[in-house]
Amino acid sequence: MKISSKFSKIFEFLFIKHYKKIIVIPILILLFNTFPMVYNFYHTGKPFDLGIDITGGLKITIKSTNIDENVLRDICKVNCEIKKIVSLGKLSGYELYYPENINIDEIKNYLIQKGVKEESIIIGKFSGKVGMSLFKTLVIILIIGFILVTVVVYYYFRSILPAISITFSTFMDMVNILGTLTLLNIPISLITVTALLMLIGYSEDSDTLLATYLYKRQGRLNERLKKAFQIEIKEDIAAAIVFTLMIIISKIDLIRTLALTLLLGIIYDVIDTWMFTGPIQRIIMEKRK
Amino acid sequence: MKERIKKIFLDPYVFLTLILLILSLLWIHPNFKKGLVITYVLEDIPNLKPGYILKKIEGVNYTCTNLTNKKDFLFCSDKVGLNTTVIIYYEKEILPYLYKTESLPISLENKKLSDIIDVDEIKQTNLKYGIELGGGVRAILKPERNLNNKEINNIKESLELRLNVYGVKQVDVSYIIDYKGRINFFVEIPRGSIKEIEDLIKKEGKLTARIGNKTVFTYEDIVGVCIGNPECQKVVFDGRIWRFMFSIYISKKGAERFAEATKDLEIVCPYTYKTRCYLNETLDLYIDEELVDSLRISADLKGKEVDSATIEGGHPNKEVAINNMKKLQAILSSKPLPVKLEITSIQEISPEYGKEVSNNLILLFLLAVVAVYIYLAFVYRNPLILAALLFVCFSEIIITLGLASLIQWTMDIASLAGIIAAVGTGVNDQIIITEEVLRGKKETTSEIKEMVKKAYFIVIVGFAISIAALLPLIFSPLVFLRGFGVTTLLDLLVGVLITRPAYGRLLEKLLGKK
Repeated sequence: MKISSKFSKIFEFLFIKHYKKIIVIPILILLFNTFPMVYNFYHTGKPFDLGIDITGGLKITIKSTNIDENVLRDICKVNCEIKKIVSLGKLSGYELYYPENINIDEIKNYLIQKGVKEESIIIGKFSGKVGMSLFKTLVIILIIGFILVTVVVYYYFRSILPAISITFSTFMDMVNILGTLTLLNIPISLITVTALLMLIGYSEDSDTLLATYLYKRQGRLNERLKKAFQIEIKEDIAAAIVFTLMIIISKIDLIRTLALTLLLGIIYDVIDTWMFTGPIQRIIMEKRK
Repeated sequence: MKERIKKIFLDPYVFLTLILLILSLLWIHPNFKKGLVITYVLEDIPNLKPGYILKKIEGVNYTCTNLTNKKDFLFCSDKVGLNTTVIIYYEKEILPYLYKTESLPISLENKKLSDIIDVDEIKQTNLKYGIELGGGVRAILKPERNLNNKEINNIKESLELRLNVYGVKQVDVSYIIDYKGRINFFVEIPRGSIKEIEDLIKKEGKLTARIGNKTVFTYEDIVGVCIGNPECQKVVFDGRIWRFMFSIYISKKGAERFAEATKDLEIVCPYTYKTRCYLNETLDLYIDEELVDSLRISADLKGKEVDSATIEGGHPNKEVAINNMKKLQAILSSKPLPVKLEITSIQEISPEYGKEVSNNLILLFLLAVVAVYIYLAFVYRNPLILAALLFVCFSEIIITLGLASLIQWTMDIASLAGIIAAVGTGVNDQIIITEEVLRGKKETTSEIKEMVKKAYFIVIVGFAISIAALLPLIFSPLVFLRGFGVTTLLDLLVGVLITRPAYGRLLEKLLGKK
């Protein structure tokens, strides 16, 4: 009872009384998240760091903690990076990144000599040329996905307004995610782009919910909005539980990246949908009336 | 109550969900059997078929019972020996999960049991696992120039044949076309090391046989390669190293060139008692202009049309010798590649790591389901709603996996990520339906039906949006991400066509009062 009355108060304060003012919050967040990308672009010529699967190089994963970190530093001196793999708060291995192709066998044999079991060593060699061309292909797929989604939303709501605002909200989510990942120094990999594609589905779900309650339901507007927000929060908590568990428990880099991108996505999606798209749609609806 | 349960089970959507759930479990076929599955049987034994489960091998002096891996089988095959009779005990599945035990005596004449049958570990399910879950090597190969469709297919066939002959099953060779139309081949094999794969696929495989400077025959003259037949393929220990030899068969034209090239050669007898005499030149075999073997030519072949040659090699380690022989057989029996392929990306994952990943994913999945349901129990506090949610969510996952198994889809990490994503969307849709049903405290079945109908609008729009977002990925040339698109699509289809309506009907019947 207490939770629900507090929830009602917060909801009314933000989304009923001050719904025009809160538009500034997502804009500020968007600007804040754009800044690291602008900074990166100014210094490196690229808005964000790209992963080894796009830029090319060598990745050696050691699924063992039975090795002295000094040994790793010995083989990872110049142009090399060591990352620790942590699962459930415990160290479960290491990842070595080399930007150029080096002698794989030499490193593998050295690690085996130092007591690492052969089956604990996973080697990945990536070509920059191929990685970059796949990345560009994936970006094209993402753009086509965006266009198709806008068409579908337009078809269902027979109005350009929800179609554009839903697409724009999803676009804002993506920029925010990319900005946060850049700020956290996490490179963008092929799986990040796939997660963004997945996010279109998630993000559009919440936008559709809002648009349905705005345009297709009867009753007092405030009540309709409150109901839609309640549903959205319930959905997002369920999804956030899954994604947080994926980040904490998973030992697979790919799954962790996917989950982190989606977790960021649902957080930004609530902000962008309810503080930006929702208020703008309301303002336009009121003006039309 | 009885009437209500009857109504639930007779509802067409709930009934369809149950039927598909049962069928999916059969398609996935979780297996708890012990033993080894027979994968190959020599044609001479018609009663024994691949797919049967080998339980016991009874030799004259040796019996093997606890067969759990291929090493056990090979050890047992060596122990029971040659020229004897063994009785094998096996189980055959006559109906799903219904097995009949039978035995069969097999006579081993100049053969080992491992020459007659081959086995593998029993798969836990019918699902095909990608290399992240089962271990293996994944490589991206770039041809040195642009290719036409015929060349692309030739390369694909050649690589598949090479890897199959080498003994790698479930080879997956596909190609990716990037946004500029450039082609890269994508090879995934469930076992092997980077070195082995490099040796196998980097070679164009152009064989040239020369005597002196004269080319006697080339890859175009090879009409057959002996593989697996003990009469023309041998691995023997010569007291120093393990020697392998196998025959290749040459066309009439090649044989004529051999006769022409050898007719004027001199005969030399290097041994004191002149027991063995040879010609003064060797037959040099080159693959991609790299000398792989120099064979001495027996004196009695001088000027004769020889239609076969024996390729030899050796290594101190038996396993390496066998692998080297298999590599040569694989390269020679497949068509040469029309262009050189450069390995641009390669990744190796051990089966042990694959197992660890699988266990981690199972743990993750179970914890995620439990955590979400604890949360939903806290939100709804209604056991009927929770039971319906759990049934529908569980059915959706099993039916998606069942369909993936039916279409023989390879479950890689991207595919599993797709299922997790789709399950998330499924839970979202169920929350929407539940919220609509609970909104305004509707009590009669017809009122609930009306609310479920309203919720379907959001579900259908969400489904159409997800399909629109996924379609470009499904039809994209990015094969390694297609799994994500396909499994998500399967799950979304199962959800929107079967399980979401079933969930709505369950709520109508469980919560409705009239």
